[in-house]
Amino acid sequence: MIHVQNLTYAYPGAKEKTLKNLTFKMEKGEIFGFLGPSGAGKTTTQKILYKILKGFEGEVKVGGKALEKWGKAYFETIGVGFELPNHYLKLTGKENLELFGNFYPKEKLKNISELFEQFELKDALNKRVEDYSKGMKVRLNFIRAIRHNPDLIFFDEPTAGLDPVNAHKIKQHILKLKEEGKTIFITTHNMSTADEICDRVAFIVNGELRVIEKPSILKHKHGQKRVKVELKNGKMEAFELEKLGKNADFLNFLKKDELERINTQEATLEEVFIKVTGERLAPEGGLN
Amino acid sequence: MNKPLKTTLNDFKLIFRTASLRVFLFLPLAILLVINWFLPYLIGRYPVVIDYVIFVLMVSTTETAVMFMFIYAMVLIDEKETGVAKVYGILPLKQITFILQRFTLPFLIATSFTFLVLMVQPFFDFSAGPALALSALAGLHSPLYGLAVTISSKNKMVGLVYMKIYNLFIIIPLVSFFLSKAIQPFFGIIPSYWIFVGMENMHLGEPILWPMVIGFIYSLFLIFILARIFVKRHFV
Repeated sequence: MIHVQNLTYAYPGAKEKTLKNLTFKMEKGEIFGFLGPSGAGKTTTQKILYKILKGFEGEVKVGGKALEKWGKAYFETIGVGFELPNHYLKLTGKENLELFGNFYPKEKLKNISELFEQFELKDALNKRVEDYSKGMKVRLNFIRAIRHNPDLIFFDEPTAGLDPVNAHKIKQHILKLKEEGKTIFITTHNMSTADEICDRVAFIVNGELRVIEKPSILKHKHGQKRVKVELKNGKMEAFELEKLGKNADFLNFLKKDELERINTQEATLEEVFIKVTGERLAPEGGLN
Repeated sequence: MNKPLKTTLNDFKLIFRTASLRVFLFLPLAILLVINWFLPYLIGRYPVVIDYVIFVLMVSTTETAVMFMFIYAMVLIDEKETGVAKVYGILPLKQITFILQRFTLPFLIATSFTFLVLMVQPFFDFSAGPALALSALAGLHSPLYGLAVTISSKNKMVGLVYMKIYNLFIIIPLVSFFLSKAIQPFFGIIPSYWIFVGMENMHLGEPILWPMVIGFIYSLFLIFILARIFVKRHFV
């Protein structure tokens, strides 16, 4: 679906390049996560992919066709969910969607009322957006990005600033889009979001890609192959995963008291990120 | 519904739902009232004013155009502030079409109102043809300064400041009529100068072709340059 080769970009007047030789592929129907701290180049990459930024070096192909050769039709095939909700505040949710929907072929557009119902915004249909909560505005963003039924959808920090309930809803909607066969490109610095929904993730730091892999493989590769066992009496011990069922020490330990919990010692995606890139995603105590 | 019409309707909804912009829609009417009732009253009381009526008309024509520029510039700056401009950047819409859609109506309204002012003012008997050409040139100031204000401003407060600055800038060429003829052409760098020269010629019964031709070419050239900058900056 997307093929990027040696993508390099520098903002006009900037001394340093924002993107340095990025190379990656995205398959059709995949959720691909672009992870990195603020200023790493995630949004810049997205902006290039949805043709807002021009003047890049390297090769970018979408659907087998060079990005620069795509004309107006490209924008009918893509949807973009921006990081910050951006709507006409003086217009109602419905008026906003009708206005932007007007630029797409009618037969591709999904029914506004049905979408509002699906996203639990039914009562807000005819309310001005200035009266929406943040969560409602984000959902409206989401609806606008998918209303014209695009094949390729970009989401920039889709769960940023949302409470856990709304963030969960958004993640479920993204997974539903994947079930429908959509290809989804997500940029985020939220590791749990990426871990939950992405098929593959790419770590980007200072404009360079450090790794591209499935989250499960990364966690497995960088985690310890051990289980940590805790008993009711508070005693704790760790055992190698290999041949665990035949490990006499492990079996004897279990007999000592009632079991409280057993955890695998898999690394979190954030730990993997720090290990691979040597960078943190957000300052200590940040909301990650 | 067709796209330009829908966009225009949307713009009007935004303007009518924003109290501070709604007021400006009625200012050209206020200008019309001043020209038709207040100015004749003033001349009745202070006859010396009659010598300056042509200058009042010059300012009125440009100000009429500028009012619509102000309204549209504020709508566009608001789009920038709220990030809505970015949405237009990813629509199946050519950016030049966006500019045409957003500025054709202000141009037409500005031209119509200026034409109305010129035709109903009670002081001079202008022919419709030259008055329409002059009005269209004044109308071009709406997209011209609208683009300039939008490009220069990151938010509405800055937009208001630039609006004031450009408003002063527009009337600077009036000074040229009080200076020596040799200096006058230097004011041609300010596009409104060509409206003023055209109006003076019309008032004196002289041909207005050249000031109009130069004014149109120069204004369109500036609009072209500004539109290019606008396209680069507005949607990012």
